[in-house]
Amino acid sequence: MATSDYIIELHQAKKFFPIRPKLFRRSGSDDYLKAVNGVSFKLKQGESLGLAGESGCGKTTTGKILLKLCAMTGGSYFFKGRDITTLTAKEEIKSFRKQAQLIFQNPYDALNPRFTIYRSLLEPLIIHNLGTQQERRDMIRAVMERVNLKPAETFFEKYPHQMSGGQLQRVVLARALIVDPAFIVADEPVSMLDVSVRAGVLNLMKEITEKMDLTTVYISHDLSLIQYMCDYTAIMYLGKIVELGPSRELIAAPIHPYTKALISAVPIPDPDVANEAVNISNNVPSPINLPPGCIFQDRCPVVTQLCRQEEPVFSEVAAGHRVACHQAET
Amino acid sequence: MGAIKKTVAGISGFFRQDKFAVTGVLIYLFFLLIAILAPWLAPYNPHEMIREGSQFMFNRPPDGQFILGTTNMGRDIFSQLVYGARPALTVGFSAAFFVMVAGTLVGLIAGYYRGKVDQLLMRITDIAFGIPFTPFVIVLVGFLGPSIWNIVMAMALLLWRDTARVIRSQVLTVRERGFIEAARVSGASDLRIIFIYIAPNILPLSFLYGSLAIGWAILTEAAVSFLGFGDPQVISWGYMLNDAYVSQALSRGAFYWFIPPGICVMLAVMAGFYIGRGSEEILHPRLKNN
Amino acid sequence: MALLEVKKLKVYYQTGRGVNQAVDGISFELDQGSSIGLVGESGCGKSTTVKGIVRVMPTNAFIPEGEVYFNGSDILKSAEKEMRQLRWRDISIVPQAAMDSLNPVYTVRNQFLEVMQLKGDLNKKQALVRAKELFALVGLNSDLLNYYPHQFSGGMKQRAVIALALALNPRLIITDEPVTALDVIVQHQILNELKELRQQLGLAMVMITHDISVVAQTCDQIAVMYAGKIVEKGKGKQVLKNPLHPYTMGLKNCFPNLNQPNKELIAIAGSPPDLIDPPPGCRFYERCPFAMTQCQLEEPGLEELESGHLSACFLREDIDQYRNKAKEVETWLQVII
Repeated sequence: MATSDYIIELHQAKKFFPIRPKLFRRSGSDDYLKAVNGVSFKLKQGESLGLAGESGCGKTTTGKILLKLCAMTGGSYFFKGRDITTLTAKEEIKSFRKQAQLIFQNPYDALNPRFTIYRSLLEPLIIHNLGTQQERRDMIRAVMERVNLKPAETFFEKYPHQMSGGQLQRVVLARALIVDPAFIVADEPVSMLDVSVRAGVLNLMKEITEKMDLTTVYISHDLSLIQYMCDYTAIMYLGKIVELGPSRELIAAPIHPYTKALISAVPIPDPDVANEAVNISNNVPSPINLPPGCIFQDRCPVVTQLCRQEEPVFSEVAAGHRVACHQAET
Repeated sequence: MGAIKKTVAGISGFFRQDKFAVTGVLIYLFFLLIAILAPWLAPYNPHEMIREGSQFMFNRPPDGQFILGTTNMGRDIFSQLVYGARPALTVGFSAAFFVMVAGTLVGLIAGYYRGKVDQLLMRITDIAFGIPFTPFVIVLVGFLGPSIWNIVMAMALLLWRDTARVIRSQVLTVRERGFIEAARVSGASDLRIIFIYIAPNILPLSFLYGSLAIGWAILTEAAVSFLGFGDPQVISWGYMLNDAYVSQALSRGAFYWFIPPGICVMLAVMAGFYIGRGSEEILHPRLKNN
Repeated sequence: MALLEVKKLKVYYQTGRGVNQAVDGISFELDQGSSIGLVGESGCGKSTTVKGIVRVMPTNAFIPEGEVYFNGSDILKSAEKEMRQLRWRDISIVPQAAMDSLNPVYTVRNQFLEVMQLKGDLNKKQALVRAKELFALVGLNSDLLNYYPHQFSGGMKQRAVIALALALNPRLIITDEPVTALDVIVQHQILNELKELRQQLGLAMVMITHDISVVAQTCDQIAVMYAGKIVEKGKGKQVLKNPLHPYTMGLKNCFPNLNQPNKELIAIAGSPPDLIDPPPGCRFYERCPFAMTQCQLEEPGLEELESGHLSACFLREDIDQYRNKAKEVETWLQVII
């Protein structure tokens, strides 16, 4: 088996969706929605990456690719050094499923309404054939205590509608943890929760992923949340990563004009800080027919002739900090 | 299985809430009881041409001896009515059972797999929708021979279409819910997702369509028998109506002959629809909480 | 005289389990041209409050008590017919998920003309001129009037809905979570737009939101709501900089701040009380790290501790000390639910 330092190696991942039914598709035309258009990054064990961007930028589809929930149109994806795209044997897919887990955006919908909490947590153990009857009960109790649902027994026979959003999100987290995964994708994990319980869930996730040395990818539109949770931040725009770097560095000193605009627009809960946002136009081009050159050219305040002709290379400007902008290269 | 237990509990809870549904269930229970106790309830053999001495009891109006009078062949109408509950319920429940099973399976598979499987199954459903129901039953029964089971089969062959379509559309919504994706992420197989995750969530809907099918099946059996294509060995309410019609009971004013079976058919059909009336409550459990 | 004066407003819901005291005695004032943000978590009664003010309520809601003065007259007492006149013409509402309030089968232009001809007594020509004016006002190209709503992006729809709300020159605009579903860049632009429009047109605004960072930038006054009551009220700066109520202090801890990467988030344990049978004392008692015996027995009234800054809490002295304590994780861990 191939070995690698990296848990996740995503290279030029692409996902295109045909936008017309096949019957009416004109031959030779390029009618694809390029949801993900060449995304690359690597993560070592225990590292966390936040994918940020506006709606429709491809961050959720990238998350699905990472979990093999949708097939890639192009590119390669290695998980622990193994090529995931070519996995076909049922057992191998199952083994990947055990190691890569998902935390959902909507905890109210992520649990089967007709299962008790105990049953929902038992499912992954049945599917992966883990533990004996008694061991399973102990495993479920342990994982529930780990996510601060104590005493665990009081929740066993409850149904999802009898619990609060914060508790449900803890159950969802417990379900992901119970199979002892190596990698977790969290898609807007707290956006459906009330503000006063968000912090609790976030702190818990942070503590657990650090303790278990899990590799994590957070998907969120909220940069302040990503800064709080992640070592690295990737800013996505129209299916591409335009800037990727250590979270604090990227947020304190953004390089790409889009990152700058995004960061300046984030509201600050402090009335003394005047929010002077970098004003950029609102015209997001359609991800179906993109012009040649830089994808950000139409909205960029510092656009040059070069940007309209040539696509900037995603290149390193500092250790671990990469940007796709012509202005950044010099 | 817990999910089924919960569904049953939910459904029985709903029955307790909705007066119409309770009425529907009570009507079915009443007929069921009559069908089971028929030999004890009926004073005569329904096929027997009753005579006293050498005198046949033709066309007797209701009196102390014959509660609902007799037919023109001297058979006791009340006994026929009581025994008529048996074929009605047999047809109703067995047709409904097949409809529920077939419709639910087709709907589950089409809705879950989508694509070509869905296309194929739904086009078959469309064909089933294109066939007129009662004439189809008559033709098939005429072809295969008039027996109760052929009628049931003929009905089951077509009635699954409504269930299949509704179940499919419900499956299409359920399969997009987060907990289905969660099951997929945790590595559950397709069959597991279909039967452990999706099926319990659409079970109330198939129960509902099953209960509607009972009414339809009883009505159709009555219609087919009334038109004279029914099983001649079995006395059903439709058979009674047919019998009364061909012996011109109406012109003789023998209301006691055709009104009671008519009311029975109506009640049985009504019961099915009464149960269906509360559909919103089954389908939208959240409404119940408020 | 204040433009809007809400006095001890109560809005209750009749439910199967009993009466839900969703809004329980709320008072605030709003001057011509000023703005107030009603901040709180879901279920705190912020949306119900404005539904009560304009009396657009679900059928099981009722107002047992309270007065709402608009421009000097008590509109809770006015007939439904007069209210209908008032809505849109004087008080305009941008509802939650306003983006979905445009009808998908008509062009935006049709919907504008409809409102202005029906409610504003303009003829078609005047109405069209006005519609173009309004589009320009909210920064939309007037060509877009001929489009259908589905051809608009989220931000464009939100702008169009705001333009529609301004169509009849209202004096008060009520916005319910105006930017929640929008991307940050658009969100920022819409908030700025609202701010400028208010200054330009002298509009008063009530903004409902769960996000304190949104009100921090847009509202003069902030009222923090918890479990159907206003627990703290004051100028934006006062409330956010020097909170007086422990709930506000806790809420501040829940928001990450992009400018303070080292700030630790602290949750408030527990959940709000059941408003069908609320506890007798302070409604925040169970979750409050500074709770005293008195708080369980007696309900603290809203009292002015600094000029224009009110708090409904028995902590009335040495608040600085509590404010500092509230910034520590340990303080909030003491709360055992």
